[in-house]
Formats: sequence, structure tokens, C-alpha cells
Amino acid sequence: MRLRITVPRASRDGPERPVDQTWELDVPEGATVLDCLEELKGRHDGTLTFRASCRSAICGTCAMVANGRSILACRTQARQAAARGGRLRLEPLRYHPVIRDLVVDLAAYWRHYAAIVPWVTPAPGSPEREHRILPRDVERMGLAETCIHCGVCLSACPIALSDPDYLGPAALVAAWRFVNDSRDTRRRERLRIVDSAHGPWRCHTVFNCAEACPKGIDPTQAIVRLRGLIARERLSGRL
Amino acid sequence: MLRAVSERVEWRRLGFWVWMLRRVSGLGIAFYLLLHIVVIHQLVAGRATFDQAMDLFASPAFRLGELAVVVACIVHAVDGVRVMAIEAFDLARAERRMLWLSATVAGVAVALGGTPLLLHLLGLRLVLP
Repeated sequence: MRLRITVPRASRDGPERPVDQTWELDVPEGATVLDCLEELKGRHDGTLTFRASCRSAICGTCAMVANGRSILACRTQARQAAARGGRLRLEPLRYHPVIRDLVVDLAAYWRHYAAIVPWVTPAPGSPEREHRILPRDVERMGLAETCIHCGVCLSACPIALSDPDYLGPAALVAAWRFVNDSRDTRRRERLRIVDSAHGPWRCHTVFNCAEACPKGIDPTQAIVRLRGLIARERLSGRL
Repeated sequence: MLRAVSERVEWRRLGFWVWMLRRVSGLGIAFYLLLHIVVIHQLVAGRATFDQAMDLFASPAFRLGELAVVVACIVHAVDGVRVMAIEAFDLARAERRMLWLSATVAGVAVALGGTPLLLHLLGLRLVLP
């Protein structure tokens, strides 16, 4: 199948004024969007810039927008992502400054992630090596710990358009994960951090993030649960 | 234009359109309430002014508007209940099933509530057996 692949390319006028470039490519059955990009870079235009590493949805670096949908290029088949007529438009992730072509600056994403204190602070006297937790505690975290930080959820979220300070689905999923970690001692502090106008209360339960997540995580579920937990803690006067 | 929208927001997902429906129906209901207050306020100006305002609402365009208000109220209410149920009973994982269920409930309610209005608009009368 022949696809017409379009990528907004960096121009002399700066990254905010990209110029579309289109290639025609014969795409075999099963080829991913990343396969197509590598073919383009290797055989057609070596200046085409994108991020990729593991090719197996583990590193999360090849996130981008394909025909309006935020995806991981390595696990999305090009033929399926293409529109009628074989058109496939690839764009950089939304809400981030473009560095070049399909590469964005994820500094804001990581700043929001760092804001929720994404590490375990164990109590004094905790085991220094293996610190076991119960299976039910792991279950409560859901799939949160499998997040690969690709940024697809944030790119799919329409709320981030109106609020650049919105912590975003990934950071809130991480908050839920650490709030439920029985080894951690900063639960309340973390809840106080996320309990803001830019935290879980900003979410409008659109579910775009849940549909887009390439790892099957449901950020909306974590956000809804965070809201419930904050409400209960506040009503009981503990927060 | 469409490309500019596509670049800024992920609209090619069902959740986005359900959210938009919720927002637009909410704004529509708020506009209707404002209009309702303005019209009822005409009573202060006397019977003739009020009747004049009411004559305006007898036009087919406003009748169609009444139908739109019924649809907007039902859609907004049912979707609101869906979102509250997801929040209250931790039903995020069953979101898609909840969506189809609420769409069915809203569809039935719109058919029941909207049919008499539509028949009235078309100058027909509903005859029940």
C-alpha cells in the first residue's frame, strides 16, 4: 500500500512556522509508523528528526500525533493510522515547544511530574535493601507503575490546552501510585500538593487519556480516585 | 482551519465529542434560562408587552428551540448522572459501557419527551389508544 506521509518540517522562520513536506512510500503490511520514519530518514531525507530508541513501547520516546491522534510510533501500524487515500500526517506532541520536526521539549511535562514528589521517602528504620509490600497495595496502584512517560496522555487531553499549568494525567497517575505506596511517609504532603486548581479537580473526565495510553493505564480512574481520597481526607479534617 | 484545530486539540476521539456535547448543552441551557428570565420580566411592563413577547415565541423557529431545550436538558442531565456515578462508585473502568447506557437512556427520554413537541410543531396531535 502506498502512503502519502506528511511531516511539518523545521523552516528557516523558526520552529513555530514549520513547512509541510510530503513523501510517498510503499508501506508493507504490519509496518509501524516508526518503520516508515526510519525508511524516510535512511533513504529519502537524512535531516528528518524524530526520537526513537527501544522500538517496543518501553522507552516512550517515539510519541507523536498521527492523523490527529496521539500515539507511540513504534506500536502503531502505519496502514491503520492512515486516513482514506493513504494520507498520514505526523505531527509533534501537543502543548510542548517544538525543537525540530517531531522532537519536542518535554521540560514542562517533567516539571509537573517532579512537582508531585515522585519518589518513596521511607520511614526511619525501614529495611535498607528489600522492602516488601503487600500484593493488595500493589493492586491499589493499578497499572500506574508501568507508565513509560511518553506524554501521549497529556497530548490527548483537551484540558491541557486551556491550562498550561495543569499537572496532567501522567503526573496525577504517579501521584496516585505514590499515595498508595505503603513504604512512603509523605502521603499527606503529596495530597496537599495535588489538591489545587491545576490538580485532579481540573480534569473533566473526557477519557481521552485513557483511550490514548499505549500501556493500557487509565489515568482518569486514578484522577477520580485521587479526588475521592482528597475529599474524604478533607471532610475528616486530616488534610 | 480543521488542521489548525486538529493540531491544538485531540478531537478524533469519542470522549472529546461527549465532553463537547456536555459543554454545549450546558451553555445552551444557561442561555435559555437567561432568555426565560428576560421574557418573564416583561410582565412588569404590562400584559400587552408580555403578550407581544410570547407571540414571538410562537414562531416555528422558537418551537424548534423548545425542542432543542428539551434535548439539551435530557442530554446534560443524563451525562451529568453518568459522570457523577463514575466519581461516586469508582466506575472509570466501565466508562464505555456507562456511555452507551446513558446514550440509550437519553435517546429514550428524548423520544418520549420530544415526540409530543415535534408533533405540536408540525401541527399534528398525538392520539393515544
